[in-house]
Amino acid sequence: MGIVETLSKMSTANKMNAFALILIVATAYPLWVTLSIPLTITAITRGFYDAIDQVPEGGVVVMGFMVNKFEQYKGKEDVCAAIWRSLHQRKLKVVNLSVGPVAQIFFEDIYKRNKLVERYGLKYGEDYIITPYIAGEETALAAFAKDTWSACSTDLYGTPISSLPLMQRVRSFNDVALGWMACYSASNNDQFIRQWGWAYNKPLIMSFQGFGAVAYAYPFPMKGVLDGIRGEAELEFLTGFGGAQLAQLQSQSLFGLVYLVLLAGGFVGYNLIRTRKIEVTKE
Amino acid sequence: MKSAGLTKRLYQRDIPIFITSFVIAVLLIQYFVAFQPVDVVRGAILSWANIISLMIWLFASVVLIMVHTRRVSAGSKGSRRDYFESIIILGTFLFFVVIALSDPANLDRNYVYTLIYAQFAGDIFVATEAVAVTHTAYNIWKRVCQSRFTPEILVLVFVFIAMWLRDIIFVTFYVPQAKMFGDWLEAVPYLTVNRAITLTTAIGTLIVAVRALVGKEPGIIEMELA
Repeated sequence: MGIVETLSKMSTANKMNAFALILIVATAYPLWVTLSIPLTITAITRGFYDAIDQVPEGGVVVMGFMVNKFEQYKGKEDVCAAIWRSLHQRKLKVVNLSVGPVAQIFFEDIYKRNKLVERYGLKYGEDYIITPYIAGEETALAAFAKDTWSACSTDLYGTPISSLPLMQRVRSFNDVALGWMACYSASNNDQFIRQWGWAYNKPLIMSFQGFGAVAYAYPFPMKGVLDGIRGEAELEFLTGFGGAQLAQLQSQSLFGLVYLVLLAGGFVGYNLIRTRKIEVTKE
Repeated sequence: MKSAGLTKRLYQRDIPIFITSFVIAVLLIQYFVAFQPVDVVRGAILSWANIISLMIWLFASVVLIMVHTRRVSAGSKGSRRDYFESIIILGTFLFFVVIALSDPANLDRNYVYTLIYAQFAGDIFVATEAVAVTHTAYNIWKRVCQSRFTPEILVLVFVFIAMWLRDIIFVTFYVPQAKMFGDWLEAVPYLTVNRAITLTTAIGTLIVAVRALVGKEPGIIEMELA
């Protein structure tokens, strides 16, 4: 008995369950295994990736996290892993600047969740530091860019900033190679651009909140933006650190592909039944 | 005893049409004319809509609790499935009541309640969606595969496939036009037809409403009496 005959004799309930099972497996598989499906990379994501890639080894990157709610980090853990792992894999020095009330919690989570210290042999104070919350938004950005030691006297753990080896060489934004920003509202982008990008002629990259238009509105200093889930998935793909966003995109694609294959098979199968007049179980 | 003047026609047709017409008139005037008294009337109408809606919700909840309490009280006399369903429903209800009352100082903003409720509701929603997507997908597949290739079915299948191709990343990697074409289908033909349908429905509804107001449109009651 051929496959068409076997399928045509299955009950509707069994066919539905088999169909559902195939789709569930196709959808769930990319959640466990990152597939090597090619992905078109948009220019603004490419710009983001290249901006990190172009910082020379040992260059300083300041991560300005302006967030005030847990929701602004929740769901972004994997793309944060991709960004921070890229930075430390390239042996860049990272200043994690808390310019939002809860940013320091997220910074700590990124390092602990991804075991960055063990994975890349990092030393706190030399390879990265975390600042406590510096209030004032734009004034905080301006103050830190002008004089890091004055804007923030101690790090998150109470150690004087001036005593940290990394901060010995980061006295102002002139000593920084790249600035990263993530904000809770569109208008905050301008603050970073004014106080860091234009004032010190430094390239900036941005993620979260999907304000992709920023990259087009400001050709410089904006070098790249991760625009929404798609942008985040693209970065995960580029860096090779596949996470939730890439899995979601691949899952959706595999579902569509399998469905189209089933559709093509269905056309052939039902037409075979018609032409060969195979007896079909009554449904 | 029913009043002689309170006919079925009056309370089932004339009064609802009058109230509906009045509300529509107030909302239309308020939309086009800046006149504070109309704003006040609009606000009052919307408040009353909320009050009535809440009363209906409350009534529906009471009815549900009563129905399920009766089922549980009846024990195994009724359907076994109904009995267990009602136990689960009432148990869940009591569980959430206890959580809601667990923090009397914050009855209107009990975060524990909100978090647990959101988690439950989210899980149920996702599970339902998963079942719906997988099983509905089968039904769509079967209907499409079994259809004869009439022009409308061909258009349906063509658009269906085009929209799927747009979201398959390696298709758009090798054929970027697939995404552009899918986006165009959504932005131009789909939107155009959608707007045409909305406009046609709006004009048709307006004509029927005006005809009903001037007594030219026979309602259900007239049809029943005819």
